[in-house]
Amino acid sequence: MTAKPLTGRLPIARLSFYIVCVVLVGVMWQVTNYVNSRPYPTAPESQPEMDKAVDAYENINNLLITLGTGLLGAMGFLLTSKPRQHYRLREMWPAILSAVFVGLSLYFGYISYQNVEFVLLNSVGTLDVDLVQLPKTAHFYTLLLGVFFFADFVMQDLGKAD
Amino acid sequence: MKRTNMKARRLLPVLKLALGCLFLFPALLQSQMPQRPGRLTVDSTPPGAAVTIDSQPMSRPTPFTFVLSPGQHSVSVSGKDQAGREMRCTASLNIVAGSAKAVHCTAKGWDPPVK
Repeated sequence: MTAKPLTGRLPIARLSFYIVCVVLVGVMWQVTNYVNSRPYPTAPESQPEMDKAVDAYENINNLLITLGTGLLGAMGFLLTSKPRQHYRLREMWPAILSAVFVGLSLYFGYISYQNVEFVLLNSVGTLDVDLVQLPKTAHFYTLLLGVFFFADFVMQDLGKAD
Repeated sequence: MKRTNMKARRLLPVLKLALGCLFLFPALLQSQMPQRPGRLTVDSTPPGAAVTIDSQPMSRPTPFTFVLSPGQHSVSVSGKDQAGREMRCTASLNIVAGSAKAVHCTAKGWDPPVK
């Protein structure tokens, strides 16, 4: 028996997808608000130290964003490389979770970048503030979760091919 | 089942619109951007006293200009005066976004007094 393709499901499934999206965006809105309202007292560092910190931040941010977009591309390739193979919803969960976490990782990457820009424009003088550190940490750990679920999906997919 | 599907079909455009608004508006809202910080210059006589802000010891002694997020902050300066007596000043300061404030600690307390 072949599974029903996900794209041809009832409108109720599409409705649940949009409801989940709205809830997710609402939660992220609140999280961003919380991060951006964290109090910070700082003693600005000297310019060379700040330049080094920004360089290190940029390198890691670029690397994580490249890994995230690469992971999404690999996921898309895996899902479309076998057009005749339809996945059941329960087989798709790791792929869905992986895509959600990688999406969140990219979002947190953007927020931390926006806040680094804020720190530089307002001469806060250090990156050691919750405004930058919280989204930066979330950026890394959500990507890690995305990689974990992607690996789970790939293992399941390989098992199916055998 | 058919009625539920019909309702779902009618709700879809509304949800899509709500999602679009949720995606676009946060970027325009002030609450989604950090507020501009304020500056607080902490000085003391004699200089070199330790500064603690929000129970967090600062890496720089007085005199120094610290950068603080807007809102209420507790500031404490401790050290020894020229006669070797303990000097301690504590205050709760309201920092306004984009503003600059200065406080000066002596053995007799804040000079001028901090409100």
